[in-house]
Amino acid sequence: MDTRNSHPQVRNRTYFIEILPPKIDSDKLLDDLDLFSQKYNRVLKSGFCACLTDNAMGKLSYQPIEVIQELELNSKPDQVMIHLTTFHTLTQIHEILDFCLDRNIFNLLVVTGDGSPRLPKLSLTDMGAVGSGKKNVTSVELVKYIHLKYPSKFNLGVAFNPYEPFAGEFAKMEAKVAAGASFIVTQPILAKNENLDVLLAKYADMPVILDAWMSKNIHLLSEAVGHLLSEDGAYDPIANLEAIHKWYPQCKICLTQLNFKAQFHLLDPDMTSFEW
Amino acid sequence: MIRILICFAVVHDTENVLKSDWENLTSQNPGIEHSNMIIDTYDESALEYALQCKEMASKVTCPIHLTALTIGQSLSATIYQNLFAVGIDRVVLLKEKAPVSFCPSRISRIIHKFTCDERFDAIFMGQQNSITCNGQTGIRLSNLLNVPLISYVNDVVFINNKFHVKTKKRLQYTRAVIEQPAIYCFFNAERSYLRMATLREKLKVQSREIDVFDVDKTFDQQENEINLISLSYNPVTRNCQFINGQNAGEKAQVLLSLFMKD
Amino acid sequence: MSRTILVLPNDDLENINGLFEIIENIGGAFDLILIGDSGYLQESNFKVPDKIQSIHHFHDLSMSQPLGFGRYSKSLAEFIKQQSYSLVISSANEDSNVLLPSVSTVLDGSCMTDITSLNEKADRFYVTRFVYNMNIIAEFELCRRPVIVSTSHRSSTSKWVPIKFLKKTNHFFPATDENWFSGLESETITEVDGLRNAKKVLVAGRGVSGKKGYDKVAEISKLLNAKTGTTRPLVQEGIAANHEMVGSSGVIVSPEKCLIFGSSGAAPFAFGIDKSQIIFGVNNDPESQLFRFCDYGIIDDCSLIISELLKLLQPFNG
Repeated sequence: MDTRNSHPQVRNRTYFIEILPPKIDSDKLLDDLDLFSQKYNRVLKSGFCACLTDNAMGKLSYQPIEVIQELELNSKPDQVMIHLTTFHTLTQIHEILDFCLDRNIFNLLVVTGDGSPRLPKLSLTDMGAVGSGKKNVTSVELVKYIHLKYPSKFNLGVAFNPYEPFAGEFAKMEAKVAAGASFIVTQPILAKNENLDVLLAKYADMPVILDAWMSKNIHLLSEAVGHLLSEDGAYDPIANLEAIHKWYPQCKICLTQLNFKAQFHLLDPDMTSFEW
Repeated sequence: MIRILICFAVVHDTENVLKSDWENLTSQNPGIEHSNMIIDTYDESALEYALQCKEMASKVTCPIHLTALTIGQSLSATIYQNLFAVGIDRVVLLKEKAPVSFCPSRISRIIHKFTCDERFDAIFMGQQNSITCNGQTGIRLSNLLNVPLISYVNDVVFINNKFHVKTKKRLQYTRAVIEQPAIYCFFNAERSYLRMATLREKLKVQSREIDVFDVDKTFDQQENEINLISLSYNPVTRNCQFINGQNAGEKAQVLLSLFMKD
Repeated sequence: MSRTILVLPNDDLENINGLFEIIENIGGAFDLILIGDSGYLQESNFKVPDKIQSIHHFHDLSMSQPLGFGRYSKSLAEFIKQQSYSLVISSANEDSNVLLPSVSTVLDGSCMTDITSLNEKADRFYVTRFVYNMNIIAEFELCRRPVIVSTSHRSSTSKWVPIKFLKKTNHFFPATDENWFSGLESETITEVDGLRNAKKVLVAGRGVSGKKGYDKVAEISKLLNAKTGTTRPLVQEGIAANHEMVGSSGVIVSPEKCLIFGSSGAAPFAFGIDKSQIIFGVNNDPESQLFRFCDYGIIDDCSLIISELLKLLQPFNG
């Protein structure tokens, strides 16, 4: 049965679709790479934007750039976005940025990241004078640094967590925008949210991409939003996605944990180019 | 050519075992067979320092060859391919069907037999094993080989064809240059983790294989010095009372008053 | 066959009393081997159970020997063999846990370090100790003689009376050349924070959200006149210093009150805090192992609780 007609809200949209590179400890690496390649090509062919994560939720994975390089994948400007955390050496950061320029990948989502004890952490000493007296490197310093070293080369996005206390999160956002952020990506949206409404009003000229959680796994979703969600009642990702379109029709949406087998066809892509 | 032997154990990743998983425990079996198998964290330090020494040696005229050795029934391809990918030259599995946990004497004699057949200039290993917690293999091997043992190794560098070691014991660091073959046991070392291989390095070694040798059966016939009688779950000694409240502020207030109470 | 207790230079009275308690259920006569010249081993202060029959005092056996124990283990093994000791028991520490297995190898006996109990049934020795990263307690039989064990059991109460007329024999070990290393240098690490003996301890775990969270916990510690400890992941991430790490391979704390933020409660960490009188834990996962070791728990986001505590303590700041 074609289920697409039951979900008209989600069709013919321009979606950002998150894809996770294979995990470092994968025991079927070649299969995982093949699957990654299929997902990536399908997203690009459909005219969507592939968002490639950087050790998402602290789970150690191969870097997007090395997967693109080793699999010899094509990249189209505007159709690939790379996540970049602060858990790298400065040399690695430069390798990633140089590779992105070489492959015309200009959109980067810069986040502090969850990290792992196994990953190196950027230090302000290495990065020079972008620290404003703080001891640890966050997305603010990394955004500043990229603009300093690669002026006008990248379109840098930053994260917004609508579930954090209002004052602190907005102060952080001001610092991120002052550092040079030019678009915003939120944590998964599950309901109309007051903090998000304020953000949209305050940064009306800036693209805000809302995250839609596409998995039924509530436990993982709780981890993603940073607080415990009730596991009573099933979570319907498609219904949530439709609701987000209704609540925030002006925003683009990033689909996280999309099930390519069961959900991709519902999006009914018919795009020739991706619109930001 | 300097030859380093690195002994490593593959163990259950107990950090990721859930509380409920331990309920499958029986008197002889921890019941966590489904958990991930990883290189013991103490041995990871030993492997990482061996790789660093190899890098240092490559800058001068004296190359270092690294052999990583483990004992067990099998070794997963994920583990050994990763070792090859990061720069280990040779991986050896001494195949032993009988369980070797809690048998430090047998383990050290098996390694001793292997090292008698091949010459090594240094043997690196973790001082402890996070599963058996024996901490005896290096010590016993040192006696069997009659070579010095350096315990609580915190850092090693390879300069002018010699190992420069730093140990950390209680509140004291000690540094020395080691003049002859020795066993280095790593404990709470500065570099705790084995480096990660890049995808390119990993793809390059997909077809490489390890050396497998059967353990001499005479080792099985010798009586163990330790017999495992039973295992039991570490019992809960405290009954946790949860502090409730409408919000974090209320909970924090109760917490603070309890904490400040004499 | 006789048994012996081995007292090392770094042992304090609580270690020694702990050893005396452990041998209460073990039959037979015991000797006491004292190594080095620690002040509290002077006879006038020394109280021992009456099953201790004689003392052997080893001089010039400097346990500060930083790199190797080879010469000590051989000499000690020789003495144990000569005296036909069937059981050797010592406190568990960084020196004994290397020395004892080494002696045991020379004598081809059975050895186990860090035991939590020792029993003798029908001339067989049984011990318990933590295994599987301290999640499990295992019971073992130690089959070969001599049985050589170390224990971290300590006791603050001394039930014994001074015994003045114990036979004491002095022994001297010959110095040997150690030519397998050169350029020996030592450096003392200053314990800056006194975490080990603090009465109140706050521990910042991985859930405190990085350096910022750690700094806030340190600020609360200051306001509560407590010391700050941390868990392994924060040390690995370079957020906290190595000497602040609480756990089986770090500092073992024993405060009156211990408050832990955002630790998963891994067993090696729990070992480091379990001697605290009252333990408070904060974690957003109700299933967290941490709560197994706590007297009081809060299920909530650590960052929120930390912020609220800071707000509550603001009036005391400055």
